[in-house]
Amino acid sequence: MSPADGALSGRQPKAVQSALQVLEAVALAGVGVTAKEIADRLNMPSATTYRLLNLLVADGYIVRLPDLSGFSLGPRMGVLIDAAVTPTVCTAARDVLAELRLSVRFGVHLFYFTNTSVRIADADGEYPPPADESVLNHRLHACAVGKLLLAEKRDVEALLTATPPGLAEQLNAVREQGFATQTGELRPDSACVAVPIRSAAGPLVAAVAMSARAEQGELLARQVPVLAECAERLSPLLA
Amino acid sequence: MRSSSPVSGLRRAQLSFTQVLGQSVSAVAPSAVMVTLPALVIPAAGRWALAAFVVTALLMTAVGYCVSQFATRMVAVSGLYSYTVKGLGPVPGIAAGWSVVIGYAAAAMASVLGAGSYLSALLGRMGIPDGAVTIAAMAVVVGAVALTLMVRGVRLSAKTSLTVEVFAIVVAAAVLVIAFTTIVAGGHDPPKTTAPETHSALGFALLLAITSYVGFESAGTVAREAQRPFVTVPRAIRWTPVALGVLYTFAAAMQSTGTIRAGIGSVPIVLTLPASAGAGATALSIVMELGITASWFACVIGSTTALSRTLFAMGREGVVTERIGRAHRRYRTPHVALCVAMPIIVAVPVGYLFIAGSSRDVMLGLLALSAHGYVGAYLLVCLATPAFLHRIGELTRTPLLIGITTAVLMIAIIVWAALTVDSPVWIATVVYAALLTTGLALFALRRRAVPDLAQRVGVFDETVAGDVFADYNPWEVRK
Repeated sequence: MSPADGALSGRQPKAVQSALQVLEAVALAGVGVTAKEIADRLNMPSATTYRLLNLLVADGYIVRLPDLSGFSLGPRMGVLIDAAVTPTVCTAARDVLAELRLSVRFGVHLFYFTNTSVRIADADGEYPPPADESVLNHRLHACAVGKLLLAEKRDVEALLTATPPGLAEQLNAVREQGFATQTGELRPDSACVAVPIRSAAGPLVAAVAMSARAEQGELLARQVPVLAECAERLSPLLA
Repeated sequence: MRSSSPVSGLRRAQLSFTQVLGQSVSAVAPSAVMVTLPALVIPAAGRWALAAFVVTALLMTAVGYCVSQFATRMVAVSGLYSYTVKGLGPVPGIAAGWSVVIGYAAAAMASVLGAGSYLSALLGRMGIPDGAVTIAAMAVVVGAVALTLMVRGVRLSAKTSLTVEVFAIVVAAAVLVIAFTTIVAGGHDPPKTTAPETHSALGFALLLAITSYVGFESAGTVAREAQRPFVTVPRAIRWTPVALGVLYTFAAAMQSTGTIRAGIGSVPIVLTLPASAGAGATALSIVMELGITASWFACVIGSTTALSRTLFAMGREGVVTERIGRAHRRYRTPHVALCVAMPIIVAVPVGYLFIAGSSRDVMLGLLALSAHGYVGAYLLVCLATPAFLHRIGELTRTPLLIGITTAVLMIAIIVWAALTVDSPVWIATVVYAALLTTGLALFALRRRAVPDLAQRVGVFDETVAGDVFADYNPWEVRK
């Protein structure tokens, strides 16, 4: 294998450092920087710079613009940034949630979405959500908020290790009804219902959900209009 | 920047590295070459036959290096065509485009005929009369099966052709080893080449050997449909010539140990096994015919896949009618391009066969024509490499040197071959020139209808607005 094939061993710290330097230089230079400019800026041999740029493009950390000479950060960088951000919820939104919590005897939770994951933004202290964040993200197909995320995606398989049978029909139902549910799927004794919150431009940004015991699934379903109204109030506060 | 790719409609991330490699390998049909070509090259090159295969392997590896310069930088659907446009501009690009179209189409035609002939030869062993009618019928069957597979999805056809080709290579290697080691073990005379030792045809032999590699660049046409295209496609293009070089050198070495000659029967250019191969000769022949049928069939799929993607891109650009650039809604394959190309691919060799009478002549004619197309396009893409890298500001010494040296060597070999050859290859040259001129004339004509055509040619799967990471909001879900 030639080095260009990506077979870097851990014994080549220089190569790894150079690749990260190139990535940083592209990030700082902004959209449209050329390979030559990067090489000049870093004082790096041009052949090395070009090879590293091609490797980074191959892995999606950066992209080559349609003119083929300019570069920009690519979609893979989103994975790094998404992992680093923490959800923050403004006081006005917390007030809306607190109001809803007073009126029902179920857990009321606010979730945010990154492009590929679910994040707990504000959990009910009295009735906590049935699973923590990492479990939700490993089993997106089994939880109500996860189903909302999957229903948005063209390529569902990319987010799942295995596609359970019947998921496609479930996701179609989610898209039509405008809410998602789970009963006993995440944990045998729990049920949830989640309603999407969208920004004015349309993308899914968050979800407000209710959790209860599995046998209360029927009662939860009746709360959908309440949740939808709450989502409508939260939308301008979050997006 | 566009919001959607100009080649959208073809499904992304379908082919694994092995399948991308399979596309390149099956378009070459190496096992058919292994048992036929050394038989043609050895008489022409004499004791230089092995060297001819080694030298051409190196030369094609250099071409592969040039092509991979493009493949690591753009995700193409039309391979050499879009590469040359990006390097040399629209008119040389169009010349390269029609060249590869001629190359792929003629290779597919020869393969349909090859598969048809071998199938009818196999049927002949079961008592069904072997003749032009049977060959034509079998060619239609082969075309129909291949078309169905390719329309149904690139993954299905890639899997099929890869499996079939692996079978074919194993069979060819095994047959060669068994047939020719038996002779040596049997204590026959040491090898004697019957060809005169004048090397007057060495130039032609080199060109023949080059034609045994053509098609290896076709991975560039499935880049949009490959997983991790910037890694898998250049790797396939870089390693295929090396692997083929090893296979061919092995085949040539095996065959130069025995007395060999090209068969002149009803079956086109097939190696006739020495009678001394023993009582198993008939069984070996049957196995080999099966293997070669498989190889030709894989080559039909490989060449037509590459052809259809190139035509699809031309349809998207407006070089040919926009209808050719449509993709199937469900299977996401260029079904219109496939359905237009396949009947022609079957009809031309069948029609030619009824006129010429000998499938061997038809086959050689088509292969010669296809070789012209490929070699023309290779030459252009080698010249395009330094030009392209210079244009995007990434030219370094190695690609400049390799690009120019390879182009010069190829021109030298073509001229040498033209001086030493005394065969009817000139007819193929005339047909190629006529077709290429027609293609360029068509481009000039279409330019009147589509004023910005020169800017539109050379489409590839370019970065779209959604892929560029600017004004990023982590808190939203994208499609």
